[in-house]
Amino acid sequence: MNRLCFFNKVVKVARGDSPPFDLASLPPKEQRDLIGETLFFMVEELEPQFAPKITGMILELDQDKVLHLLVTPKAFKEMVKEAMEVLAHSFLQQMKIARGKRC
Amino acid sequence: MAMVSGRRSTLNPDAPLFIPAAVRQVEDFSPEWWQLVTTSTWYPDYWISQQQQGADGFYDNGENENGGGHIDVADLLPESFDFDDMEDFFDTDAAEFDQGFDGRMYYQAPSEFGFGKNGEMVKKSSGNRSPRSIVEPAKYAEKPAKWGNQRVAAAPRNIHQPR
Repeated sequence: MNRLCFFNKVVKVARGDSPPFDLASLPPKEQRDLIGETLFFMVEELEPQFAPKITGMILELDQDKVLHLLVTPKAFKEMVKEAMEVLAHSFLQQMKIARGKRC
Repeated sequence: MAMVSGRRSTLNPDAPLFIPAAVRQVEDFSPEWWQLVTTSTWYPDYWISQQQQGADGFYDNGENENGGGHIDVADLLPESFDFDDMEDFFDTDAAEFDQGFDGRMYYQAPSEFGFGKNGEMVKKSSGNRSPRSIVEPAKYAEKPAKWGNQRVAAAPRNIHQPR
């Protein structure tokens, strides 16, 4: 219920409806936190294990792009998939670094 | 920016984790905490990493101590001292018993050569024992953490580079 409430609010804001509250009137940090909460639950459904990491990565993008992802399931799924690829690549790089240190 | 299959991505793999506010407020070992541990796939790993961050300071200090020449010394000392320690411990008990039993025995101790030697050994063992008692718990505490880290570090290497 809490999740749906958050999501509806963000959707209304993104689609230009007149919601009970105005996202733009909130301080930047609160905006980010609110979007992050909604984004987190959506990411958790696709990638439960890496939800905190992927959410953090997506939140670093432009806010307009993030809001777009929230209301565009196809783009959102592609972004999550891309995040997983970036993470996998980063992990391989770290392994190479660790290997180099060991040698 | 990370390169993925030649494609430039705007995603940052080093971005900090985003933890929902409700989860951050959960108190350790509370009913909500247990529910998270048993139902969430990412929370147990996150919680453990938080504990390790807290422990890292202690482990780093330990590592620094062991990292120096102390490793060899620490490995050698316990073996050589265990026998002496037991002997001294026995003598200590005997000395205490004698003191409690008869004051004269204690008074005569300095004059007797053998007992005097034992007395000195007792002092030495006491001096040596206290530092060891402090060191040993730390050593035991460090081992599991170190082993855990080694296992974590070893697993990826084994997967990446079978030998």
